[in-house]
Amino acid sequence: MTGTKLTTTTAAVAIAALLGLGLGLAACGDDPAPSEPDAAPCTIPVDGECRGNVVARCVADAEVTEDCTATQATCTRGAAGFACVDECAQAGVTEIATCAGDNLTSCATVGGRHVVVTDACQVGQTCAQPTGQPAACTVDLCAPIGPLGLCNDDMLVRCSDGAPAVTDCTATNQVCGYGGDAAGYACVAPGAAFVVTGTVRYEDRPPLTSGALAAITPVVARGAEVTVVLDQGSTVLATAHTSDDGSYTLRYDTTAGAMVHVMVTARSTVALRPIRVQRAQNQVHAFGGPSFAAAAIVEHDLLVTDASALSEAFNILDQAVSAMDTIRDDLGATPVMLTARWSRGSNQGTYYSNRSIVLLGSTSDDDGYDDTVILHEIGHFVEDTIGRSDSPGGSHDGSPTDPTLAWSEGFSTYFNMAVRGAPHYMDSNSGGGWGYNADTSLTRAMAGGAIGQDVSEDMVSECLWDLGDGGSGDDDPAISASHADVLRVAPAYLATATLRSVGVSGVDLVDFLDGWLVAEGLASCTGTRGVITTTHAFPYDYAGPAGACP
Amino acid sequence: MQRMIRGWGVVALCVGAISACHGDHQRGRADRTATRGHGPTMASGPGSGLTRERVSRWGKPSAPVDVRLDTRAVGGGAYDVTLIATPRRDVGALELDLDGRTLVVGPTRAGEPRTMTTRVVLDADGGREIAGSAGMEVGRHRRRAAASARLGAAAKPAPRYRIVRLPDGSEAAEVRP
Repeated sequence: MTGTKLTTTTAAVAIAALLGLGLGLAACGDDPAPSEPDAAPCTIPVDGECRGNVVARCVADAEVTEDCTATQATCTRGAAGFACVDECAQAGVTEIATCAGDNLTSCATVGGRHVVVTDACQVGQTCAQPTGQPAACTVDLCAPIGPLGLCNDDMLVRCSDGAPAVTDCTATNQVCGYGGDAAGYACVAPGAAFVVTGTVRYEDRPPLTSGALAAITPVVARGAEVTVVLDQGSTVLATAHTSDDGSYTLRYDTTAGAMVHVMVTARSTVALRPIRVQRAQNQVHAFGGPSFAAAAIVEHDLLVTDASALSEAFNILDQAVSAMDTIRDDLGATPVMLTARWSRGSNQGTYYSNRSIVLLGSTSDDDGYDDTVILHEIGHFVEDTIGRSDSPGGSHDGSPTDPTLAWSEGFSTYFNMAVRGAPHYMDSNSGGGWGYNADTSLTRAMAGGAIGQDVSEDMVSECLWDLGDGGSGDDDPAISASHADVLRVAPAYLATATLRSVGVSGVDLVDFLDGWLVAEGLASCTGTRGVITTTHAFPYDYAGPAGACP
Repeated sequence: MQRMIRGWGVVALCVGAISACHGDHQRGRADRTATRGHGPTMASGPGSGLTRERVSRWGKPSAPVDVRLDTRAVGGGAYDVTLIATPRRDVGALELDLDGRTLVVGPTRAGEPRTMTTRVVLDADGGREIAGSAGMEVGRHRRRAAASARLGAAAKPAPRYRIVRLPDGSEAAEVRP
C-alpha cells in the first residue's frame, strides 16, 4: 500500500485538523471531553473520507491515510467506501486515444493524477480509429452542409453521395438563396433587393461524464429557423433555416434604410426535422440580434448567449436535430412533430407525454444542457411514434423493476447513447449531478431468476450497447452489429409483431431479443448469448420466432 | 447539543439520522424539523411533490432519494439552512452535500430522514443560491438528487421578451439583448 501511514489522534486534534482543512465540522451531541492522545477512538466515518487527495479511514481504531497522488490515483468514493481510484484504469482508458462518439478519449496526467480527457472533434469532423492506430478527428465534408445545403455567396453547396457538390448559380443567371423548406438552399431567381448572411451560434455547456457541465462553449445552431424582422411592427420579411454549419442566407425586400433585425427561433419547420422548443405558454423561444439598416448586402452573426436564458432552448433543438436525423437516416422512418417545453426556472418536471418532452429548468435541476437527458426523453418519443411501449410508467432509479418499465427506460437511455455514439448518461444538477457508463458498468439479472423477473433499466441499456457497439473499440466482438441495427428492431419488429407469451405481458427485453434474432438471424446466437446470458446473466430462452438457437 | 464553530458559519453537520443531533431517536422530532422552515424553501427533483406526480409517467432516471432545503432567517443577514434527504430505498450510505460541504452517513432505511445544517451569512442587500444534494450507490454507480434555495435578495429577473407572429400564425417569444 504505497504512501500509507498510520497516525493516531485525539478527538480534539481531529476537530482542529478538520477546521484546518476548512470543513467546518461540529460534533453533534455533548462537548467532547479532553482525553489522552492515544485513548480516543478513530472518528473518521466508517466509509472513510477524502482529505484533499488523501484517503483517511479507521483501521483497528487507528487513523490510516493513503496519499492517492503517489499512485496517480484520485481519492473518491466507491462501492466499498473512499479509496484511491485510478480514473483511467477504472474507465478502461489508456494514453492511446479512442473514439467515444465524435469525441477523442484518452488518459492524461493532470496534477499528478490520471484523468480521462475527452476532446470533442470540431464541427465538421468525425472521430475515426483506423485498425492498429490511435483515434483521430477526420473531416466529414458533408457534415457542415446538412440536408438543406448552404450558400457561399452565389455558390450553392449541397451534399451528393457523401461529398460536397458546388453549383455556381450565376452560370444560370440566378442567385443562391433559400428555396423553401422542401428545397432548402438552392439557385433561385434574383429579385429580392437585400440580402443578409451570417452564422448563428449558441452558448453550450457540454455535459461531462461525471454529470457536471463544462464551461460555456459557442457551437453552431443547426437547422434553426431564422427570419428577417422589420422593427416597425415586427413583421417577418423572409424566413430560412440555418445550414448545419450554422450559416444562413436571407433575401428580402423592404424600404431601403428601414431598420430590421435577424431573429432565430428554436424550431424547425422542415419536414426532415419537425421540431419546436417552446415556453410553457406555447410560444417558440426566439433570439433577436441588434437592428441594422436594410442594405444590399449585410453580414450579421448571432450568438445566443447563456445570459439571454435562451441558449438551452437552442441546445434542446440541436439534440432533437440529431435525433431526427437518426430516426430518418438510421431507422428509415418519417419523423413526426416533436414539441419540447423548457424555460429557465420551470419546475414542471422532466418527462415525455403525447409527443412532447417537458424538461426541468429549475435552479436545482436544469436539464436544458443535459444532452443525454434530452435524448432519453426523445427516446420515449421514438418508442411512442415508431416503436412500441407497454410501460406502466412510475419512478425508476436503476433498481430491478417491472420488465416493461425497465425495457422502456433502458431503451430510451440507450437511444441517447446510440445517437451520440457514446455509452454515457449524465444528468447535471446543483449538487454536481451524476453519470453512468453502460460500457464499463455491469448490471446482471438475478441468478436463478425467471425470464419474467424484475430487471434493471441499466441492464437493458448495457445489453443494447454491447449488442450495437461493433467496430473499433468493440469489447464483445462476437457481435458486429451497429447501433442502427439495434434501434431498427423497434420499428421493424416491436411495433407490429405479435409478441410471444413468455415472461411478462407487454414489450420487454425478451421481445426485443426475439426481434433481434429475427433481424440478425441465428448466426448471431453465439454473440447474443455472450452478451445476454454470459455477461448479464439474463435467462432468455433463445426460442423465439426466429427459431431455436443451436 | 449543537455547537457553533467560530468563523466558519456552520451550525452543525450531524453524522447519523436527524435525531442523533439531539441525543434521542424520536422520529417526531425529525418531522418537526423538516417542516419548520422559514423563508424561501424549494424542493425539486423527480421525487418531490407535484413534480413526482407528473414526472413518474415517462420521466428521467432518478436517484431514489427525496431532497429538500429548509431555510430560517436568524437575523443579521444570517440563515440556517438545513438539507433533509430521505431515501426511498434502504441504502448503505448517503453522501450529503450542502453549500460545498460534504458529509457521508451510514446505512439509512427507506423513509428515514438525514439532515445537515449550515449557517449562511449574506452581505447587506446580498442574495445567494444555496445548493444541497444527496448521493448514493445504485447498482454499480452513483446517483444524486439536488435541491436549492434562494436566500436574501431575489435573483435577477428573466430577460423580457416580446411576441412576434410567425408566417404560419404561431408566436415567437423574442428576447433581444
